[in-house]
Parts: sequence; structure tokens; C-alpha cells
Amino acid sequence: MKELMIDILKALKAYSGMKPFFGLSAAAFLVLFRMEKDPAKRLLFLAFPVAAGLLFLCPLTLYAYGKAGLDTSIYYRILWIIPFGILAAYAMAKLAGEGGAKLKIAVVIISVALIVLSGRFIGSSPVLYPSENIYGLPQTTVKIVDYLRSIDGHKRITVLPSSTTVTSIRQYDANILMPYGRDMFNPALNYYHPVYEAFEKAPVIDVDELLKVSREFDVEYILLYAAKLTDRDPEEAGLIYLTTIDDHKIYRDPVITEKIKEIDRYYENDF
Amino acid sequence: MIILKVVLLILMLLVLPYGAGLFLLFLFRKKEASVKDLFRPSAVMILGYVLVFSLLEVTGIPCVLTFVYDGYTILALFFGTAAFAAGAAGILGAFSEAGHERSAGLSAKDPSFGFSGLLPKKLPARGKAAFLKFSGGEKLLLLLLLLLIGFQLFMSFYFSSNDVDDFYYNAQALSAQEFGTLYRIDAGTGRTVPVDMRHGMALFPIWEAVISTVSGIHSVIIAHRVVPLILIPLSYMLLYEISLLLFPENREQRLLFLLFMNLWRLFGHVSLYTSETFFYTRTWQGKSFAGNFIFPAILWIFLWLYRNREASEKKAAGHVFLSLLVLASGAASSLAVLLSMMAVMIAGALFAIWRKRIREFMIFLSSCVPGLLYVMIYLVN
Repeated sequence: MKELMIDILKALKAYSGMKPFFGLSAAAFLVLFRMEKDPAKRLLFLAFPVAAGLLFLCPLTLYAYGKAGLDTSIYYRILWIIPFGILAAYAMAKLAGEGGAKLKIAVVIISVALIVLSGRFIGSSPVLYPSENIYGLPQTTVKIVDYLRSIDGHKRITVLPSSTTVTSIRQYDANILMPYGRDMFNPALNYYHPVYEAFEKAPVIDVDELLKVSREFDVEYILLYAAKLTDRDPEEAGLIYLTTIDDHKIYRDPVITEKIKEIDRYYENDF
Repeated sequence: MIILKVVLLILMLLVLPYGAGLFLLFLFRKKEASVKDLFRPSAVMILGYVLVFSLLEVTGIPCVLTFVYDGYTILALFFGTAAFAAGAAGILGAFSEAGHERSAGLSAKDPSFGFSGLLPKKLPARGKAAFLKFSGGEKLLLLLLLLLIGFQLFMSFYFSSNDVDDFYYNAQALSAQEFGTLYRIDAGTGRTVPVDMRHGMALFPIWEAVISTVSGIHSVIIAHRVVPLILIPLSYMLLYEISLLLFPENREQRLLFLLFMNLWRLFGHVSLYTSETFFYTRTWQGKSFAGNFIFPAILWIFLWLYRNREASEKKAAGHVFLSLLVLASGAASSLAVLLSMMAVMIAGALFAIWRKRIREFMIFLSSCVPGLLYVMIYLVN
């Protein structure tokens, strides 16, 4: 029970970002506790947040949440049903309407200052970056996929992505298959994949070892990020160098190209 | 060609949802006098989107479960037909009612009257009439609000998000289009997998795929660029509706409330987990839709049901809207269904205790039936 409680408090701490922002909702709660007369609004803005908050803080809820097979790393989303912002904005607007013009201006200025100073502007988020194109995807991905499509049309091909393109390639073109996806880069999942082991995990890529496993997954194109070291020139091992796009050397494996052609021929003859 | 695409987007993202909202008001126009105070374009659009996502779930979940091949094509057909039928029925119904209002001489003077006031012809006059009532300070506040919302729309274009879940989300939408199947392709690799029931009933990305298919615009552009242009204003329409119930008599306080809410969202990025952060970094994902639309909409319906301390059991419309909200939350995620039911049940229990009427809680519980069915299907599969 104690561990569950600690996990809940950790989730709360992470959610609040250790900033006083949600303290404004707590202050708003006190304001409304004194000022709000309408029973329905008292229930929705006072009783409801307390009930939902207690439910969130109750270790049994987290226990049941886990037992139900839900992802406990997103337990914090219970907090989303509490209208923190509406509570704060309601109390602020209510306070502003309580007195004369001077009080109103003072409340507005103080409220705006409190929100701005206690919060964090979304534009400063590390998740956001200036768009490189209309797709909202890295331009490198768009250029690489467009290049592959310029030589292969819209065929279904298998590409071994770099760590920087693994998340975006299939958003741009789902007809491109990959031996593994972004999940391999999530250490918490602890997945195993032989191609990942040979390509991403190895400090220096053993090209022969890589080809041995990549061919099992019909990988035709390999995106070799410039920073990746190889034990020998991939061309010596039989790969065909095609081009370099933004620090990604693109190689084609002719063994797989031939294998796919053979399959295509088989089906052409079959029908 | 671009003009045609824009026209199709307007049809799917504005006209049909608006028509669907009119359809709901049309259904309750006689039985429920209380829906009369929802006769505003913003409320119509909100209700319309709730109905559209409910229809998506009702038509889509059987497709996910039943059709291994061509599930996406069949879903697009079923959902498209249902959404079109609701939208068209709403528009036709509204025109018909407006005709009655005109012949009875009811809507001649008031541009905001009844169904007449909800039709495109009257909207400019309605907006002008409302604007003329604004004081100088209120006009300034309105301008500030429009600038702030405009700034947020600009940000949705200026910024891209390297959100970690997008690889799944957008690739799933695109895979549905490329392969024709629903949640039977691993988003990360493109390989065939058994149906992914953890996400398979949350059809928000498939809605974006349908818009992409019909408009001919790449689904990742729909998600990253088009959907925020709709969902950001829609969310503020909802907050406007909430403000009307919080400050029914005071326009200035309503504007201040909306100003504070705008700033709250813009500065709510205190961690990666807040719904405010999701509002900008994952606007196109169902999770953000749940946090910034569904849960506040539940609060809105409760505020509406209990304004002037009215008895809730007399308002079937409110309970139907809550049921639709719970169902629509299923498009966002399976967790959103549980959370929306949790919100309805907590609030319902509190109101039932206050009013000492256990029956009232039972009615709220019945609003959760679509959610309970959703959970049952999830567990069985």
C-alpha cells in the first residue's frame, strides 16, 4: 500500500512539474468555497474535484487500475477529469466581477501575471520544433522516402531505418515495411530483435552479421546514419551504395532485390 | 483541384457536423423545451461533433471486429453514410422548421430565433446584432481573444511535434488506407498482426484517414495541419458555452473567463503530461480530444442540466448527450471511456446525494451504458 502511495505521489509530482501552476486551482477552490452560492456549481467546482482528487490519491484505485490491465504509467490521466483550468478561470473572472473598475483591473492584471509566472509557455516545449514541411515530419525522412519512391515507384519495400527516421517513415509512407519499429528503442519494453542487435546495439556494425539477419527480414534498403561505424566497407560485403541524404547513406541489398524479382516473376507466370 | 479539396474539407469538417448537431436539436425540439437554450451555432457544432464520433464508434467497432479484409473500406462506407444521413437530415429538418417559423412570423425580428437563427443566412446578422451590444472594453477583450486563438492556430502550423506516439497514430491511419484493413497492421513495422484490440476500438485516427481518403490529402497533413484548425476552435466554442452557464448575465465576465482559459492553456505546459500540453503537442490525437473536449463537455452538460436547480430526470436530452459523450470518448481511447464514465458517475452520485434522489443516480448510470458495452466488447475480445 505504501509503495502504491509513493507511486501516486510520484505521478502527481511529475504531472505538476513541481511548478506552482496548479496551486492557482487550489487558491481558486478556496475563493469559490467562500463566494459560490449556487449549489450545483458548488458540487461541480468544489465537491467534484475533491471526490475525483481523492479517488486519484486512493491507493486502491491505482491497485484496481493495474489489476484491470491498464497502463499504470498513464495513471495521471485521471487528473484530466478535474477541471483545474476552468476552476481557476471561473474564480478569477468571478472575483473580477465582484468590485468596481479598479478592483477589476487589479484582479485581471494579477490573474494574468500569476498564470504567466507560475506556468510554462508551450512554445518553450522541447517537443515542439519549427515545421520543416507541411507534413509536420522531419524533412530528412521526406527526402529519403521520396528518393526511394523515385527508384521503386509505389512498391511495397522493406527498409532498415536509422534511429532518427524510425518514427516518421511509416507516417509518410505506410507501404514501406521495416524489420522493427520505434518500440525497439523503448528500453522499458526490453524487446529483442536480431536486426536491432546487429545494427543499433553493436558499437561497430559487423556488416556480414547484419546482412545475415537483415536478409531474413527481406530488408532491401539500409539507411546508414553517418555516425554509425562499420567493420568494413558495406560495398565490399555486396551492398550497393545509392546516395547520401542528410548524413544518411542509402544502400541497396541486391540479394533481396533479386529475391523479390523472382517472387514477382513466379506470380506473373502463375497468373 | 485544391479548391475541390478545400470544399470537401469544409463539407466534412464543418457542414456535416453542424448538420448532425442540428439533427440532435431537431430530435428534441418538441419533447424538450430546455434544448431551446442550446440554439447557438457553437452548441450545434459541439453536439454535432459528439454525434459524429458516436456514429464513428457505432459503425466502426463492428467493422474492426468483423472484417479482416477491406474493413477500412466498409467502415468508410458505413460511417460516411451514417454521418451524411445525420448531417443531411439535420439540415433539411432545420430548413423545414425555419420555414414554419417564418410562416408563423416568429423569426422576423429576432435573428437568433429558433432554427431560423441557426441557418447560414442569419448567422452574419446574428453575429452583428450580438457584437453591437458589446461595450468598448468588451470589444477590446474580444479582439484580444481572437488574436490569442489566432496565435494558437498559427502555432499549430508553425510548430511540428516530435511526439513519441505519433509513429503509431499516423501510421495506423495511413496503414488503414494503404492496406484496407483496420488495426491488423503493426504500425511500427507494417507487418500483419492479429487485431490490436488495445487501440482498435479507438477510431480517432481512422476518422482522420476517412477525411484523408475523401479529400485526397495525405493523412499526416490532415492530422498535423487540418484537424487542429477545427479542434482548437471547437474546444474554445465549448468553453464559450460553459462561460454562458457560469456567467449568464455578464458578458464581460464571460470574456474574461475565456481570456484566462486561453492563457491557462498557453502556459499550462508545466509537464509533458498535462491536458494543456497535449492540446498543442498532440492536438490531432484522441487523447488530447478526450482531455480538452470530452471531459469539459461532461461538465458542460452537468452545468446545463442543473442550471436554475432544475430536476435532471425531466431532461432526456441531457442524458442522451451524456450517453453520446461517453460513446464518443471511445473514439479517443479505451481509457477515455473509463474516465468519462468515472466523471459521469462521480458527478451523478454527488447530485443524487444533494437532491436525495437515488433515481437520479440511476439515470446517470444509464447514460454510461454505451461505455459499459464498450468495455465489455473490449474485455471479450
